[in-house]
Amino acid sequence: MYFFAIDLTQTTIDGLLFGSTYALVAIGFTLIWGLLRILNLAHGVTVMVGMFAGMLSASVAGLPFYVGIVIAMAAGGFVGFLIDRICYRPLRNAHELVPMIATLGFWILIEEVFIKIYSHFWFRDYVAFPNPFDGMGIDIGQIRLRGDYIVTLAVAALLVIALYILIYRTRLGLAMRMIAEDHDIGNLMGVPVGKVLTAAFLLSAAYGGAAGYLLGMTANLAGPYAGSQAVVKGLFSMILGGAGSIPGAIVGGLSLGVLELLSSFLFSFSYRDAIAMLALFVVLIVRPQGIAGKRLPDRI
Amino acid sequence: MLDVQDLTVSYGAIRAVRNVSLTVKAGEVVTLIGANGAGKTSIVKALSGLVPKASGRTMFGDTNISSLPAHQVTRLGLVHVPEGRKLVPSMSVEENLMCGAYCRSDKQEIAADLDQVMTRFPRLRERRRQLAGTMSGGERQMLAIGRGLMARPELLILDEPSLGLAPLLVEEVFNIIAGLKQEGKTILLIEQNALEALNSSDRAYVIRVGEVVMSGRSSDLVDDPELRRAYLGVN
Repeated sequence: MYFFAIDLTQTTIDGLLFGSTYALVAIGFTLIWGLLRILNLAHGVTVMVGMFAGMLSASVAGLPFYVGIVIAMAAGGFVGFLIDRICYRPLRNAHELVPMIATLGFWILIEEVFIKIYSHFWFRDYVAFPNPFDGMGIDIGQIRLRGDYIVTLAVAALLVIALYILIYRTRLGLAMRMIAEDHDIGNLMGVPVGKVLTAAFLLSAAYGGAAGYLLGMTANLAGPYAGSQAVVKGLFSMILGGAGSIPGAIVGGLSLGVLELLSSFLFSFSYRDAIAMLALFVVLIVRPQGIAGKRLPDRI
Repeated sequence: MLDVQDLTVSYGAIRAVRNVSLTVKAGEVVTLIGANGAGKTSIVKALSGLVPKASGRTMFGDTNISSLPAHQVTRLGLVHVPEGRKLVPSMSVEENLMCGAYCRSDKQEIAADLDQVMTRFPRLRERRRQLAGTMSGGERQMLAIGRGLMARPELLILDEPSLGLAPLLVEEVFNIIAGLKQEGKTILLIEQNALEALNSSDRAYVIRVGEVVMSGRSSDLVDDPELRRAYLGVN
């Protein structure tokens, strides 16, 4: 019983630390959802590209962690710029479902191309993502905090704090909050709405890139399906926490981390996704607006 | 200051505004009156750039704003306080006011203007930390006008400022407009409340199904028997 309690605590803590990567992915979805009311299904591509950029920076170029994560964010951000220019801008006057379908197409296209490159060329030889924090950790009594998990949480926390400062303390943040309410408010106050939205795509994609780096590093592996997995986990976190709310994305991501690890620990590793989905199902029946979401007035 | 020639606004196949020409001179209060759905809001939305102008030539000062995007029109000093206020309910009163000053970088003058707006509307000072979404209709309208003033407008467009307000508050809104007029501000006022609008303006245009059907000095129009019967509901 004593060991069970220790293991349970250990698993919960690991889940909280690791869940911060999901929170980062969910924040990317939330930013675009909040400003545009579209699901950016191409967001997973930013995670995958960030992951591979980070992996190459570490394994091939031998760059340290803190440089690699900046490179991953820049690479992800570039993908975000492309998503804005290809999937959103030309279609911004169309029905809101149209840009969403465009992001779906972008996702499938890039992922398929990437898988071809990955399986036919040289990426197969470079999949191992070096983990400089391997084996490190802090022991607190019987509980061990893995080094890479601590770094993951620290990076995620830093990025979340930076995001809050941006949103609540800067001019760009003020513009984003106006646009999130109504694009016309931004227009009337003299905000160049298109430019602010480009910045939002860049920002959310840079966060996706950082998440890709952290996911790859903690798994010691860069894989071409990382983007698809990130879409599922990120959307799950966003909906679990409450769509359109940044605290919701954080709560949702951390909850998903705990939920996954606990279900692997208590039940079975192979059923962890099913169990997590079941939990989401139950939460949505009880609280359709998510754990931290606000109830919206009915639109019909 | 504002010179509109043959403005047309279309939503798909529907022409909501047809060949409207109007002018606003510096220091004037001009009102557009007309029934619900006459196209008044479409006219001002086109002026501020929120909806595209299908044709016509619109000059603001020396600048041709016929195809200028909305955010650049605002920067020129044509400030539109829209119908329904369009505040950000999750922001505090003070933050909403600062949205109005988004395009300005003169920090000290912004602070001075903020103080001035709060002196003009003491309720806003009392509630500066309160969220805009929790305010009453009248307070929201004051906040919307205050936010417009924070942009230091050359021309202030007020779209239906009295809409949805209790009679006492309607009177207060028109007092505010009278005050702004006295200070020499240039205002284009859209109103359904035609009698009040005529009483507080210099000139008026009467809009019916997207066209100007009558125009002139407000003091003349208010006595026009036909207008009184058709729009003011008095004999």
